[in-house]
Amino acid sequence: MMHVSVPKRRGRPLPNIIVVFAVTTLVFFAILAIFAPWIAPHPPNAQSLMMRLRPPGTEGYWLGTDQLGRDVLSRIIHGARISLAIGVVVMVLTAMLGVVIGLISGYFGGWVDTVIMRIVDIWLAFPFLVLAIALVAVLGQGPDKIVIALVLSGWPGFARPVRGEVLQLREREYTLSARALGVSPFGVMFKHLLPNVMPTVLVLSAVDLGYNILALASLSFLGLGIGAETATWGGMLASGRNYVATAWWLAALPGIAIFLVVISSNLIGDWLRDRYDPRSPFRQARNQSLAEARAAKAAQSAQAPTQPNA
Amino acid sequence: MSGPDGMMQEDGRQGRALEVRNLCKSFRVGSETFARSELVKAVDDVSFAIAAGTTMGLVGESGSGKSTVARMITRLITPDSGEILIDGVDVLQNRQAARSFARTVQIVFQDPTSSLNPRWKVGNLIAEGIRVHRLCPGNEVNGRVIALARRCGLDADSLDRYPHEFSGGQRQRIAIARALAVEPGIVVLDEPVSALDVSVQAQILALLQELQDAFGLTYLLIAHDLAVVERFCAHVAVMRHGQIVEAGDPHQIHSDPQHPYTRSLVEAHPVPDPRRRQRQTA
Repeated sequence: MMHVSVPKRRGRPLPNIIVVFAVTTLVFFAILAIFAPWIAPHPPNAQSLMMRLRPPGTEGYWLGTDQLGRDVLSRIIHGARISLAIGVVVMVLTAMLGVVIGLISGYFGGWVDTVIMRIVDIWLAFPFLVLAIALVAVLGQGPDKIVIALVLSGWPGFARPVRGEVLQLREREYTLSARALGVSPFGVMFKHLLPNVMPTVLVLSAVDLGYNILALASLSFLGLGIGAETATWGGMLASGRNYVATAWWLAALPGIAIFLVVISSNLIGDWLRDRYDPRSPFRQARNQSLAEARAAKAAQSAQAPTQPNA
Repeated sequence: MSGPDGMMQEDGRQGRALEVRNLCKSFRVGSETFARSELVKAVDDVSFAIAAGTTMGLVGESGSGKSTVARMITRLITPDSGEILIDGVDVLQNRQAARSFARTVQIVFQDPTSSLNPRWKVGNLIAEGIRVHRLCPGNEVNGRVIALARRCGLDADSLDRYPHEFSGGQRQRIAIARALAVEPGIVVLDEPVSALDVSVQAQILALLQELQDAFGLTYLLIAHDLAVVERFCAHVAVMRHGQIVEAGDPHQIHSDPQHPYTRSLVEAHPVPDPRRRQRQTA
């Protein structure tokens, strides 16, 4: 999880083709993950001592085999399962925890806010991965432990930006009018403020997905992830490292998979921000051109009826 | 609905008397950590009374504390000291009374663009108060909302749309309908027309007048424009630096201001009649 609020991006808006690429890539990997047992040509852990360290292009083993003769393609496909599943689950849970904490902190303010924000400060003083490693070390291994560790280390990344936004929104007159109507604090938070922070949460979530997958790969690489018998991209990267000089595909191919998924989710995050963040300069430009187009159309239709007479 | 002290009310839609005594509120301004903060008196010993079903105007420049008064009466902020009496009951001291009066004071803000949640449909915005206070069975909420919207000059089909699809005047009608949905006795109008076009201002003021006549509402009208207040209020108070410097009949204050500040306020307002303008400068 990224530990700063969404950074302001400079330059031009993303071309559509890049967004299409990013979405296609994620959908592609999602399909691989969901249908892994049917798509993968071999079971991920099927070993064959006859077929050790075959390079990509070998018949039946298109992406080659590893030092135990396991099919790299099948292992990448099965690795997508773990990566995306944990990435998405962690994203959803982190977002929920962080948003609730951010809403409470920003809305109630005062000492509640002070206490929560000091905790966030302490949390952020630790590098994200170091914190996750420490938590995994305490909790032990296994997918559920990884999820808990990543959620517990990632929530401030949502809590702080959401809290900042709530600080502004709670002084808005619609919040005041809801309070005057007698809406309860939690009603105001979840019915009035939450819908208005959702664009931010959406953007943060997309970026968070990439970070989670990367973190999971890093943990697996360090041997702290899921047990070694499960195919994970990070784990493949770690064991392939020993053969980098002789069998490049062992480390490179899972690395490319990680790269594609992470960059896709970051690109989608950028695109969502351009679209939904009202402060994004691109959105303003887009709205302006839309308004101009509308005005031109209106002027045209206003003139239209007079034309037959002319 | 039965009010506190066994007072009976047939429908809650009856103006209530509002009285404010020695209201004070200070804000701490400046940094918190490094003690250089200072107290600014936003509202300093303000007292006034509004009879049930009448309108009082509160005039002053921005920063004079009039909006702080509005927010204290609406209980959005708590006064440092003083009393707020509704029908003679102090709602700051008496918690039970405070609860039963919770929805009797409502507020309409200056800018309907920001006082309506942009992500809510108009129908839900108006219905919110009814739902929160369970003022009627769930299946009757819709009918009530439609009736209220009509009363405020909105079409029934506008309820399915979002606030940004409406003009400023229409949005203010939505905000008024939203406030009236909980059957208040007192409505604080915090510069309800100053964000609107002059032609629309007249329509909204006419609507407010009509609603007051129909429901006997008590209004506290906050404005920086003496002309609006003069036309609309039976009584006016002028605020400056958190204090009321002059109070009385609006026509009298307009033609013969006593306090130098009121005089400058009156003179600041352009007179549309050249002959009167000459008289004013003479």
